[in-house]
Amino acid sequence: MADTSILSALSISLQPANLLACFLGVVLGTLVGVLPGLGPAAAMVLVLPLTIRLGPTAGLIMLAGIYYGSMYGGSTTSILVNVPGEPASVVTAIDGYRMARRGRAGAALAVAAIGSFVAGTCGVIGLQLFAPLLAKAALAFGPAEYFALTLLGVILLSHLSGASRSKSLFTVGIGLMLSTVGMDSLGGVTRFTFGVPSAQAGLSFIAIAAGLFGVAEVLSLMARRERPAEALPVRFRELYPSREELKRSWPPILRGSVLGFLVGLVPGPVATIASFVSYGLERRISRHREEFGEGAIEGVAGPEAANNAACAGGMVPLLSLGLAFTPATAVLLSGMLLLGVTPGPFLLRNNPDVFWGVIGSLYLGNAMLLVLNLPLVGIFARVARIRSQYLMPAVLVLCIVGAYAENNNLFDVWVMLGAGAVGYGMRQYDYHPAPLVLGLVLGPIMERSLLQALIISQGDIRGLWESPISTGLLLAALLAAMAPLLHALYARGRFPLPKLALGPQPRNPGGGGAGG
Amino acid sequence: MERDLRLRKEIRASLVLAMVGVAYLAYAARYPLDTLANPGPGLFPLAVGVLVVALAAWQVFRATRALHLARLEWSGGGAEPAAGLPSDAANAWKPSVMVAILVVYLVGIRWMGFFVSTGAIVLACGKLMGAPGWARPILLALGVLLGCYLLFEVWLQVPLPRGSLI
Repeated sequence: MADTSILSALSISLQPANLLACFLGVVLGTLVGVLPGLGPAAAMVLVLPLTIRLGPTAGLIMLAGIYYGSMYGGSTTSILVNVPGEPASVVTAIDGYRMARRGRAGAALAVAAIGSFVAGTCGVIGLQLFAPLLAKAALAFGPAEYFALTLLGVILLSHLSGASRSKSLFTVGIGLMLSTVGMDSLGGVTRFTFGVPSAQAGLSFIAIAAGLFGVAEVLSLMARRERPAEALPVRFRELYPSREELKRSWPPILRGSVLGFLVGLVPGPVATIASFVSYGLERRISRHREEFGEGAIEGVAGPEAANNAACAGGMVPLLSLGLAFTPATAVLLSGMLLLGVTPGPFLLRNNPDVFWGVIGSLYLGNAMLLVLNLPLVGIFARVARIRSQYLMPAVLVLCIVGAYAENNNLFDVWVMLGAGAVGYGMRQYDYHPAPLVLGLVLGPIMERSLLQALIISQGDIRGLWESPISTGLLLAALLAAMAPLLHALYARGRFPLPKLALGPQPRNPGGGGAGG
Repeated sequence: MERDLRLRKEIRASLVLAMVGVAYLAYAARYPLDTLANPGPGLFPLAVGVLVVALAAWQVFRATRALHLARLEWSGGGAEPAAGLPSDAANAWKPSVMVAILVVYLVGIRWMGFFVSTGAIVLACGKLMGAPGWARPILLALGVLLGCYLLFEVWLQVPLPRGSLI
């Protein structure tokens, strides 16, 4: 069965159009990963209008290619330039750049690429195994369970988004507010449109995401003084790690693959969290602890493997439950809906070609990235030196046209501009835009499932926690919501619990905070 | 002083956000709640509005308390952080100007059309980001416009807005 699935996946993704889409996606993703600022979510939003022309399978393959291609690209600039192209590659810069300074840039790049390939492939195997199982289990999910799951997701997001919890939760709330604009999901009543006919279908996700991630980034860079990046040189013949380096890299790669995949299943900026947690773990258990921060190969291998595996893990809830818990998977979800594909438990039954096409493309894309990234590393490093004064005007125009092209409507461009200005303001006040986008995506699902659950239970609010699944999910949500309070109470010593015996802390100023 | 400014900025932002929440809540009150057995279109917005207002109020409380504690600390002889301007203060005006230019662009696109207006936007954005000279920004604008034409009009067949004047 599994063999047939892999063959079917590969046969779909080997079709010329899908192969081309996969190639374009991974190249574009690598470029996005290399360029600091523009993240995968923004890049995916910018190419969404193009994917309509490609069709659902090729379109989604291209979007998925950008998503995991960006994880590969991010390591290149971290190692050669000490400028992480992606937040998920921040920890790679700690030891990767030190290795490059010592003349081991080639080895660091090769280990990062091999680690990404192995972890990416392990992650896809996990996705292929878990997604259909979870989809089958999700058939037991009714509206109450979906409501509980989205509520849990929203609360977990507030813990994991970097900024303060109340700020993250507040930003999710703004996203939920924006999701109520337009036609109500059950009764068909138009809300918050202020008489604008174009708003009746709701605010365009592409316009808001392009504004928050694209336009806001252009405005932020405009306000910053740019320092040109200097890349350390690397030659193709140097791309061979020594036997010792390879021996030391395998265990972190394998640990990072498992850890990354598991972290990928929870809501939040999973790739970044996975890389930080992996770095902390490797630093804690390594026999070469003193090398961390000075160029330890484990500090490159583990986090790079973890962030790639997390991408695959993040796609499990998307493909099996139809829920997105990261900005990039939110764009994928929006892309699926735009292309007429409904993700969730019925995806495998209704659109098997899309499901297996995406899975197959992940295998092929990983191989493509390994082949592409090693020989072309010098070119990608030079791309990082493109000045933003030439790149950002083009990004701005792509945002404008991308927002316009969805409905051929200038109203969406106004929405994009508003979202861009708000997004820039949010960055100034330390509000991260990602929870807003997720609130926007989860809002309609949350509202519909809440209302349906209430109708089914005939207004009995106990219907929301009647089933064991929803009870478990709501309890988890309650626990997650109470966690800061409980933590504060423990810290004040009101509950005198025995303290956990912690091992000696590694002395390493270079890796501060990496423990996640 | 810098921390004081930051906290006051935080309070102002939280107050503005609280007002947005209150306005949303007030507008949401127009929609019927109906009953729990047959929930109306106002139920979910009401819940979201209450959540947003509560969180904004919490933000205001937290920032006000932090400001109060910081002032107490300074008045008690604690070291006040040194005043200093953010390193990018010289460019802080640029995003506002860019947003204003984009507003003019969106108003003017009906008359000037996509290609002329967008060419001007690329030039303005490039210059605001510090592109030296004119030759490269003009070349960039022409390249971006050609790319848009080929990608969107020719391949994707998206009719980009034509102006009534040009």
